[in-house]
Amino acid sequence: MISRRHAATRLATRAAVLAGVVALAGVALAAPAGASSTSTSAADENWLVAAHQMNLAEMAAGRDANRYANDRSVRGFAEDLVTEHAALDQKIIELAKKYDVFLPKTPTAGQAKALAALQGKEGDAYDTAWVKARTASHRQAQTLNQREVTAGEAGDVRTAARDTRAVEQSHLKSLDELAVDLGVSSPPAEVTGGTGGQAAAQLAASRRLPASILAALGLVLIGTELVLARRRRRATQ
Amino acid sequence: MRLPGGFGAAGTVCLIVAGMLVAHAQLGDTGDVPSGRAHAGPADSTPPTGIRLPGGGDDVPVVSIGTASSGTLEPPEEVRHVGWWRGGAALGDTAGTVVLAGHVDAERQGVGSFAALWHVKPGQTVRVSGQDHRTVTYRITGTRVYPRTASLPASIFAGDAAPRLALITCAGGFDRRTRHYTDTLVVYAVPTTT
Repeated sequence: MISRRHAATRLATRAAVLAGVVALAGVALAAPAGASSTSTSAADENWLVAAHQMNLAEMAAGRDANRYANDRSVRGFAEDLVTEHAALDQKIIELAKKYDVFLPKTPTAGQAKALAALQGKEGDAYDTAWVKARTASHRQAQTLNQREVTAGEAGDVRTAARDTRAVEQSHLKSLDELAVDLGVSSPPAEVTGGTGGQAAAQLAASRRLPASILAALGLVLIGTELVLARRRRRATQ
Repeated sequence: MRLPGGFGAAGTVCLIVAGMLVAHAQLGDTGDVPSGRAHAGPADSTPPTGIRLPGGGDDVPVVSIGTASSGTLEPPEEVRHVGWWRGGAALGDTAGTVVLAGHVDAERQGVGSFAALWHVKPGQTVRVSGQDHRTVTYRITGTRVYPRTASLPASIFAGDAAPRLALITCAGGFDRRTRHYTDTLVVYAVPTTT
């Protein structure tokens, strides 16, 4: 069942996407007269290519999970992932056309390999591997987004990176919530693997016989020592 | 006071050892904890579905389990079954710990499959089978006992550790009031082939 918390996060995510799209549209209109640079640097172009390939990978992963995920919340989030990365990618494509940047048609080889690895899993294992993989990919993307926001040259590309960062941050929040629901958010602090006490009783019982034999042997030896000591005392008197 | 002779000394030792056998049934740390870092590589992994513990016997079924929001890892309800923490590594992953948790016992079911862990020793082997029918053999490197009142060290679950296995269950004395054991036992093992 999709929780209220997820529904609220998805609404927030959609709002972030909408804000991003509006902001990007505004940038596109205002760019020619804007104060920031309208020429691109290698960093801008690299980010456009990387962001496009990340969008392609996220959309492919989202479509796969929407079909194969076991958990309904994962499927719901996967659907949003496809829609929202498609919206982000639309703006990347517009900016790439504007600046004449060639965009690859497929994700990177590493992204393709990660997607292929997911396809070999099923059930809970698929869901958890998918959530972990998407969390890792979004964190990696955030590093690139942040780099472009702080070091990019073209104002509209930097704005696109900022808006992508906001959307992906909301995705990371949803992924954290999914991880909690799937029981993979954090390492276990405690394991409750014994409530009967029978194993302890069995272990104690298994030690009772050798302990009894040893105790009897000990008493016999001490008794022997006492008898011998008494005889020695009598002999010396 | 006169010191006891040979018989007296031997008898005293026997009594002390007998007392220790009865009163001191707790387990202690043995061997080493594997601590290497993982080498990145492509993972072809599968969820574990069965485990065979040292000493023979049948495969014990393994099912997927998650951490509750309280941070507790609850093994499967069936005391004979073992739980695989799906937040950890799967069988064949190139990094991380495959975490399996099981019962030593349960109130209405009796002794569980992981009670056998109280008797394992470094050097013994454990075989874990996967959903894709592969089998990975692990060699036990050591055991550690942690007080139940303290959280388990997060390092047990390190995601960047070289592939290893952690088998977790309860140990120590049984508190009849709380119906819990006083300690947690972790058995560490490494794959014999990678």
